[in-house]
Amino acid sequence: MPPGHARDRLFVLAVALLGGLYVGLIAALVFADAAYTSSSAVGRALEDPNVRFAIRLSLLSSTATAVLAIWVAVPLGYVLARFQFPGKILADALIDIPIVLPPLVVGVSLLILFRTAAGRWVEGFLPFTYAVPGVILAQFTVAAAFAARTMRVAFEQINPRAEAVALTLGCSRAGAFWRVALPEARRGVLAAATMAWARALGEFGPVLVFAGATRMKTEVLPTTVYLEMSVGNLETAIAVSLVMVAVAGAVLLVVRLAGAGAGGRA
Amino acid sequence: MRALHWFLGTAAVLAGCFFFLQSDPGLGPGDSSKPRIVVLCAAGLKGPLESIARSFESDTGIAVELDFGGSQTLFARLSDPHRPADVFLPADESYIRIAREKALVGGGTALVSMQAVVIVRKPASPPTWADLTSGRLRVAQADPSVAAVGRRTQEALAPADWRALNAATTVYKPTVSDVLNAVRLGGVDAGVVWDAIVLPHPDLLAVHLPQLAGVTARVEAAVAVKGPNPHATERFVRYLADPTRGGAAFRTAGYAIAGPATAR
Amino acid sequence: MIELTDLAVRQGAFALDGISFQIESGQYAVLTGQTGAGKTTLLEVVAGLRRPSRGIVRLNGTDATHFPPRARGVGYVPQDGALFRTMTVQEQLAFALTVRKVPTRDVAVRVGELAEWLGIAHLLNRRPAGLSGGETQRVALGRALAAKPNVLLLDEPLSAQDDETRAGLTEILLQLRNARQTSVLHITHNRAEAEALADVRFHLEKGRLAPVNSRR
Repeated sequence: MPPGHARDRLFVLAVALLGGLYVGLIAALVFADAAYTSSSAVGRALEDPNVRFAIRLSLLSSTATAVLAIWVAVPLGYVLARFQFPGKILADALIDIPIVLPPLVVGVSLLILFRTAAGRWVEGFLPFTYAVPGVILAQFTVAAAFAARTMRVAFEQINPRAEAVALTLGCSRAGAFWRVALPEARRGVLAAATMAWARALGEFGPVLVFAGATRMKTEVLPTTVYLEMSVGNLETAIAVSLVMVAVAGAVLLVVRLAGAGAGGRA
Repeated sequence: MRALHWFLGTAAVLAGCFFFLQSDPGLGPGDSSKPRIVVLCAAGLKGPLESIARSFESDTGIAVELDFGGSQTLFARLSDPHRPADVFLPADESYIRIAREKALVGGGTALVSMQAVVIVRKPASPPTWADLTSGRLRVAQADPSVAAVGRRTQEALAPADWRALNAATTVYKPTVSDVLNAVRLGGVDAGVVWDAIVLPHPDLLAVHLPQLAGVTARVEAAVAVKGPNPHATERFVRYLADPTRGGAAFRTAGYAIAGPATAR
Repeated sequence: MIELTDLAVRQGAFALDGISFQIESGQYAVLTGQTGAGKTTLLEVVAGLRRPSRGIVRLNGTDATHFPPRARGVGYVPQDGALFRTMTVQEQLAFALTVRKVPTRDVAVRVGELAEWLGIAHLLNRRPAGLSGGETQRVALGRALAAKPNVLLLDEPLSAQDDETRAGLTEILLQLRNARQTSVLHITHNRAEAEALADVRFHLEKGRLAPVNSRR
C-alpha cells in the first residue's frame, strides 16, 4: 500500500460517515413514523374525503405555485446575477425576508396587506383571504424566494461570455437570454421549480393564518396534519404525513428522472 | 418564439391547475342560493362540531362552513370586516368576553363545561398530587398565557399548590392538545388537560385530583354582530345548545353539558 | 476596416486612454500587451459589449460607436471559446445564420463548408463538453465566421494550447489572413505569435498604445 493511502481511506470514510449520519436521521424519522402508525390508519386516511380533498388541493396549489414562482424567479435571478444597479443590496436583502421570517409572520403580514385599501380593491375582483387563491399566494410568497435564490446561483454559474458572443452573432439581449442563458440554466430552472414545489407542499404557517383551515375548501395536507394533531389524533396525523412523504417523493423522483434525461443531452 | 413556447408551456400547466381547482365542487363558486353560515371553531372542538354540522346540514338544508384554528387566530379572523363570519366558538369563553367588549359578538350561549384532569399513559398507576409535584414524574402543562387550561389552573389552584406544580413542570406547551400529544408520545409522563379531550384515547388514564377540582372552563358559542345570515345562525346556535341535538353529540364525545351561563 | 479614434474606457482601477489606430479591410492586426493591460477590454469595446467613455469606433467607414453588438457585423472569439453548452457543434456553427433566419438549406451548406475547412466535420453532433482545447477554438472560430463578418476579433486564441494544436490553429489563421476577406484584430501576450501572423502590430502598455519595434 502506498504511503498516505490509509489516510485517504480515512478521509473518505469520515466524509461518508458524517453525510450518512444525516441521511440516516431522515430515514429513521420516516421509519419511526411508519412504525407508529398502521397501514389501516393510512388506508382510513386515504378514504377520508377531507384528506382526499387536501391531497388534491395540495398537489394543484403547489404546482400552480411552482409555475408562478418560476415566472418570477427566473427574471429576478437573472437580474441579480447579471446586472449591477442601485438598490441591489436592498433587493437582495428583501428576498431573504420570506426565508428568515417565521412562517406565521408571513401569514399575518399577508392578512394585514389585504386589509389595506389596495388589498381590498384587489379582493373585489378575486378574494384571497380565506380562499384558495390565498393558499397559493401564501405558498408563493415563501416558495418564490427559494426559487429566486436557486435561479440566481444557476445564472451566476453560467459564463456570461457565451451571452456576449450570442449578442455579436446577431441576438438581441432577449434573444441571447432565450437562446443561450435560459437553456444553459435548464437544470437550475428544474431545481428551482422542484424547490418551490416542495416548499409549497410543506408550507403551513402562512396558509393557516392567511387562508384558514376550512375543511373541503382551504385545507391542504399540512393543515390536515395540524387539525388531526390538535384533536390528539396522532395516528391519523402521522398517516397523513406518510401520505405526504410518499406523494412528494414520487413526484420529485419523476421530475428528477425527467430532468436527468433532459440534462443528459447537455 | 422561444419565449412564447416557454410562456405557453408553463401557462398551460397553470391553467390546468386552475381548471381542476375550479371544477372541484368544494372550490367552485358554490351554490349561492343555498344559505350558508361560517363558524369559527376552536381546533380542539373539531370532533363533535363536524358531526353536529353534518346533521344540522341534513336537517335544515343550511350549509355550515367550519373554519378551524387556535382561539387567538379565530379572534383575528372575527375582527376582519372583509370576511364576515357568523358564529364564534373559541375554546374558552374569555375570548367571547373580549369580543363582546369590542362589540363583535352578542351574548354567548353556554354549550359544555370542562374540568382539568391529570393524564398518564396506561398501564401507569394513577398519580397522586404528591407524585405529580415530587419531581420524579416528567409533567407537561399548557402555557397559562396562551391556553385556557393553563390559565385556569394558575387561577384556581391554591398559591402553594401552583408553586409546587410549576416547579415540577418539565415543559409548557402552547395548547391543551399539545400536552395530550406529549403524554401519548411518551415525551412526558403526565399532563394537565381538559377531561373532554381524553375520551377518544383509550391508551390514556384520566385522574381527577381534589387540588384540580376548581379548574373548570366553559365553552360558549356567540353570534357575530355583523354576520350575514342572522336567522340561519340563530338556528344553528339553538341546535348546538339543544340537548337532543348538539348536546347529544357533545356528550357522546365526552363533554359535560354546561348549565346556564354564570359569571365566574 | 476598424478605426478607433481617441478612445477612452474607464473600468475600476485601470483605464484605456487616447487609443487611436486603423486596421484596413482584409488586414491582419495583432495587438500585444501584458496580461491585464486592457486588451480584452479593447476587444469588447470594438464588439459593442462595453461602452467607451470617450472616442469613436468606426467599422467599415460607419460610426458604430453607439451600435448594439448585433448591428456591427463583428465576429468574436473569446479566450475560453465560450461555446454554448447546450448546443451541438452543428448548432453553434449555424447559430448566427439561424438567428438571421437564413434558409435551412443555405445554413447546411455554410456549416458543411466551415466544418470541412476547420477539420471538425466529425464533431458536428457533439456537444462542447469533452472537446479538446484546439477543437473548442476551431468551433468558436467557425461560429464567429459563419455569417461572414467584416471584422473578426480573436482573444488569445493560441494561448493555453499545446504546441501541436497551436501549429494547426496557426495554419488556419494564416489561411484566414491570406483569404483577405476579413479585418482581423488578434490579441495576444506572445510576441512570436504576433510575428508569425501580423500584417500590422500594436502594443498596449499602461492603457496607451506604444510603438512596436519590428514591423513587417
